[in-house]
Amino acid sequence: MWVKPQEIFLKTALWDTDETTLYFVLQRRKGHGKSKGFSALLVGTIDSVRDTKPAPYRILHQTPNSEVYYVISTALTEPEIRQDWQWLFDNVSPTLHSFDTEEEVTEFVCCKINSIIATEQENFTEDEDTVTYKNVDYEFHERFRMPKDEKLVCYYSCSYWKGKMPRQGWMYLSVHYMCFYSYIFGRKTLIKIRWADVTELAKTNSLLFPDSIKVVTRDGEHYFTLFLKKSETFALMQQLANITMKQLIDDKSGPFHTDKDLLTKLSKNVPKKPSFLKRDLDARKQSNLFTLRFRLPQNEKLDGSEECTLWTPYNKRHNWGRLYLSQNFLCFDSRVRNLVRLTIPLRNVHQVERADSGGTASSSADTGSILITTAHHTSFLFGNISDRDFLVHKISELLAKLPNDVYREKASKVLAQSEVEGWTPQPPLMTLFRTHQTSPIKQIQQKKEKQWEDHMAEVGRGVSMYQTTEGSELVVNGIPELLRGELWSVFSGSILQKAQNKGLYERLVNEALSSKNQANDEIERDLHRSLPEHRAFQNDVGISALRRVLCAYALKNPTIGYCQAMNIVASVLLIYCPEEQAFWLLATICETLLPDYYNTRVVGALVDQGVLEELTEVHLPELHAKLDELGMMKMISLSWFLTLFISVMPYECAVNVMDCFFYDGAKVIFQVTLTILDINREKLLKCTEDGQAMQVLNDYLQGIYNEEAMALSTEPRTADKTIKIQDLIYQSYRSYGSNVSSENIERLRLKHRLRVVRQLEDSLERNTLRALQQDKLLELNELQELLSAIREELLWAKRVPCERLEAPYEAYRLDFTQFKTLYSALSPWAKGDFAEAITARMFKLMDYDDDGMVSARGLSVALGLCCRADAARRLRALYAAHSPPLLASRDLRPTHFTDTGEELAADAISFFDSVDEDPVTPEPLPSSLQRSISEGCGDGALLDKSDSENSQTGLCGCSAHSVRACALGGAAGAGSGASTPGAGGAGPGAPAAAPPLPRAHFLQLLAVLHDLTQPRPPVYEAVVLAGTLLLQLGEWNHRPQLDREISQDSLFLAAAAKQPEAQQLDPNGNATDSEQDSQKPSPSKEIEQDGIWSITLEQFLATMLAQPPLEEFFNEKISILPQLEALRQRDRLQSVS
Amino acid sequence: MSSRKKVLLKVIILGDSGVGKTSLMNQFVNKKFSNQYKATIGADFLTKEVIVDDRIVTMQIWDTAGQERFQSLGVAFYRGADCCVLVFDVTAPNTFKSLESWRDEFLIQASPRDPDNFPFVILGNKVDLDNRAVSAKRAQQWCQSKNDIPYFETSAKEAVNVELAFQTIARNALAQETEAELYNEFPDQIKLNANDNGRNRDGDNCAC
Repeated sequence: MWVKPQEIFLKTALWDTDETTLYFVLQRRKGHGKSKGFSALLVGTIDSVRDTKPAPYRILHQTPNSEVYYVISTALTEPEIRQDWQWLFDNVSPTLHSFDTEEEVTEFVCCKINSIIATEQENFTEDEDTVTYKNVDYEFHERFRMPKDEKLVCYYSCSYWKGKMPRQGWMYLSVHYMCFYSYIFGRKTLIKIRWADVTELAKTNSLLFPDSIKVVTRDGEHYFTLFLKKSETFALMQQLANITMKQLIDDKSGPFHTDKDLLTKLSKNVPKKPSFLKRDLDARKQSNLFTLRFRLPQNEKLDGSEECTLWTPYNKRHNWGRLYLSQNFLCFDSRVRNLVRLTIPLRNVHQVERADSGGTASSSADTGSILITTAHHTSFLFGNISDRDFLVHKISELLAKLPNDVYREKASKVLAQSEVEGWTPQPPLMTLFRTHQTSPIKQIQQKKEKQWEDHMAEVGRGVSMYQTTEGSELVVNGIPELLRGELWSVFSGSILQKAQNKGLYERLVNEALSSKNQANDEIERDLHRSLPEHRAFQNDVGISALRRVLCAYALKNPTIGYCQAMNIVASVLLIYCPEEQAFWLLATICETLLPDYYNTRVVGALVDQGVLEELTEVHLPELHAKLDELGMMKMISLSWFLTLFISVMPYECAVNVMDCFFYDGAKVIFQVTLTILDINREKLLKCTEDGQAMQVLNDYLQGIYNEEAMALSTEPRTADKTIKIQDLIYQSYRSYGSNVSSENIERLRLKHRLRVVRQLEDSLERNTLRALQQDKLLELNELQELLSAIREELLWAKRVPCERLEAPYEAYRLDFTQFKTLYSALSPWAKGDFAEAITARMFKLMDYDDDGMVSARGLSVALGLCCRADAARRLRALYAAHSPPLLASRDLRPTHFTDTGEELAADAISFFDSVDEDPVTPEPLPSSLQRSISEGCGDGALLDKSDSENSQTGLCGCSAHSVRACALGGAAGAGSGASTPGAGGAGPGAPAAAPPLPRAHFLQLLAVLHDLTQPRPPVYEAVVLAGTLLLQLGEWNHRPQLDREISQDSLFLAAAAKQPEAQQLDPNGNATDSEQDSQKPSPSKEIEQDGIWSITLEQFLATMLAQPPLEEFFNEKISILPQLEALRQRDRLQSVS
Repeated sequence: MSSRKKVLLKVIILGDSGVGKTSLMNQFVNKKFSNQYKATIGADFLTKEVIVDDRIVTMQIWDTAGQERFQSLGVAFYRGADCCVLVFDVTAPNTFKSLESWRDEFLIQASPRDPDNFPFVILGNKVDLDNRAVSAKRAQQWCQSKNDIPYFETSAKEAVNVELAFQTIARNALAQETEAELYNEFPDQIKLNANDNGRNRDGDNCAC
């Protein structure tokens, strides 16, 4: 048996050596096997006296020049140890020769042994993770060059099919990646796949790849086989991939958080898991299934479960099943499906007693029974609990942890009442807008009510009613109208949400109604388009209630906000439920029953369309083929599912489907849909085009009728009757009730979510690429690579919520750190000493809305500008990046650069500390800055506070916006990328004005130029020359000369710049009027040179471009593909052999 | 145009939520206006037979959901469209601004054979309301800039220009259809016809 390598110093004492090789020694304990004699006897004695029982055989590892030995294997029998010995000889020894140093050999052997024992021996400690896990985790990070915070979840031994050869190795599953490593016969195989790139996961079994797991990515297919625990591995892979997909869907969900509460949890038998994270994930999965089964709030965490019986008073029986405990609930589900189900909120628990009175109870149930009494004096008896004391202890612990919200309730009530602003929640709208019910309908309703009253007398009423088979039959027949509100809330679990969030609805309404936002506007537009045929919604009473519910929900859940179809669902809920209940039902539908349906990309509905398609293919293959041919498979279900059939069949029929939907979950919609398709199969098969098929289905759906209810509708139902809704539902249960199960749907949803998210990501990427190409800077393949690099970068960070995407590229938004990582890796400008500064300035230049985020387009333009744009544009961008207000004076950093070969003296200049500026400025802000001043300019000036402020305000005359526009002025279509009709936008070729550069800013710019050209002496000299000219020009500019105009004639300027001697006489190219005007007369102190010292963009461009080496340098087209390739290598290495 | 076989024209109506797509369709097909429509989820459609140049054609009009989050789901419906009607609300400038993106989205998703000449028609709806915010001139200009798309000012409520607009839609869609069929024989002639019609109508209706 392999053991974790342990250091020992003495190799021989008490041990006989049987065999040795260069690196390994096989030993037996003296006193075992062959060796007889005194020493053997002695050793035996020592062992028995000390009561140590070391295994009699062991293998040591040692390198020739080392004194240290490692025990790597021990065994009780000789054959066992021989087996290990042989394995070492066959597998490890051959590779050891390839190492250069002995340390490497030792490290390799230890690692190898550690990874082997990882799955065999899991010495679980009370620590978060096992020691072996930590070793593997280290290995994982080293081998795959993972960032520190990437968490390894689990690792499995398996083989990877590389071509036709299986490679034995290890699969590592982490939060964001799946990796594979094998090192056999000197050949290394490394695979690193992001979950975000996985499009399909499947268990396959083909001749070529027997019993394997298939992983499909955008780049290709991978097959893994020979798993020890294939199902576990696959389930974990699926779970991890889905966590990633969920993150992609839900922009607001942050990075993965582990649940540390698990550690402190009181548990009886903690399963041994190699990593804490794996435990966490398993717990999550369990909790998900649990909350789904009992319709509990989604954040509920399962604590444990226990086999036991539940005594059901209505039939006087003990029912075997399983008791589940979570922080807030105690639930029971019978072993026989649908026999009995029970949910008891712990907050209602009044008393827990041991109930072994013996006495009358006949069977074994009186051993280990507990009796739970709720606040409503209802008792529940559980029996046959194997470890009752533990369970009681556990329950009391959970009870103790319950928030004591009795006081809070009171407080919030007082608060809420004082806040109510002229609205009162409405009762069910059907009670306000009554219709005359014909007597047969009345009779039916009354009969049903009676049935339910009788039923509830037996099984109880409210949250903790026994949900029985009999109950579900009553549901299928349709719940009587008067009880709908109450029962929907109980069955869906929304009643629990409501109870947990007392007063929240009122607060939300008050806040939502007083705010103005896009969601509210959209809601307003749809209020009269929800259930217009109902009188309640032709009246302000109903409309206001609907407004409150929708606006409050949009506020509660900004990820969804408002999605059309919610209005339709909510209006029907309002007819049957009191307003607040309707709100919580809506919340439950949006968050639990139809997850992700209504979010900004209606992902959930798309996923379920995929699920439906697959179910249709399985159950109605012929029809599936037909609908697929008509191109209809993708569209029929959308409105059916999103509105729970309300928009496609008369609402008084759709509510019957909702009865079952709240009771049985989303599977009901699937089974009803399949039934509808099945019934219309013949007609649909005859259709020749999609419109015809739509018509068939529309006619059928409109004709569904309900004789047991009166439509509260002002529009008469005119369609030809087709089927009674009760019959349709009954048939759906009969045909598909057992074939389409909730578990099955959950499983299919996992599968289709991968595909849907991939498609959405792909189309987002396509649109983004299309938009980026319009800038005409980078090549398509560069953009593609860039985008995948951006995605990679974003994977690590919390995604930024995007309220409304003006353009596709806005979905990819980088903060400064992310921008910096990419820009500095890719841009030729981010190489020298100024790399950091220039990156920060480019970021600022591209951050159009000053929110500290730059879109993918910003990055692509920033890169495009420095790699592809012509010289004038590149220089202009540089200029703009350095001009105020983008480069605030306080951001000027100490720079030491050489001008004309001299290191220059630094003058201390004290800058003001401004507080108003952008808080996301990436650099620390020194209050006093040093800066070099060119000797060529002569006098360095001490700028005092007021001066500097003046100059600042004066120069801020140009907005950041216009400066940015100027930088991009030359970019084809840049200003009007997403132009709208009528909005002409600043066309290309009309660059906005850039402010003149004050001296400090200009010096920064010059310093950057020096830095950029440093490696190329001729260009560098040209910069020095041009710089000197510009400094002189600036000097001239600063002389107070009024009534000057700037000549736009750059040729003339260029000529002027070329002949600095002549410049003196030249009136052109001076400070702008605006600057002169805005310059406030400075009090007391004279304005020093810096006050109006300036260089204009035109002067700068003309002077720079007049230097041929410079022009050439900045016209050079640079490909960033090699850099991108390097980045890709870093992030997404694929099998390297 | 001797072909007497039955022609089916598929017309897609696109535009922001609440601009009146469903109302326009119903006004044209059923000759009635109602303010009792539910918001369209997914898509809906109606058919109507019309006579264009002595030919009986069936117009299959597909009405779509307007909310932005449904925009990308249109793909399935766009397939095989013969004409695309873009609707905006003359009282809501934002709905006018969205036209461009609706048009782009349609061209991308439907990928017609000849995107430059695919027939679009723009309808500025709700001209019966007083609080007009998009001038006819502005709309007209934009339509001209987009390869002379025919523009109509309509009111689904008062049935203003609806018939006329859909006539043009049918005609242009038919031209597209015929052009596809007879592409090799005389494409230019038909294209000219279509454009002429569009322009004349523009002039008639929008000199206001």
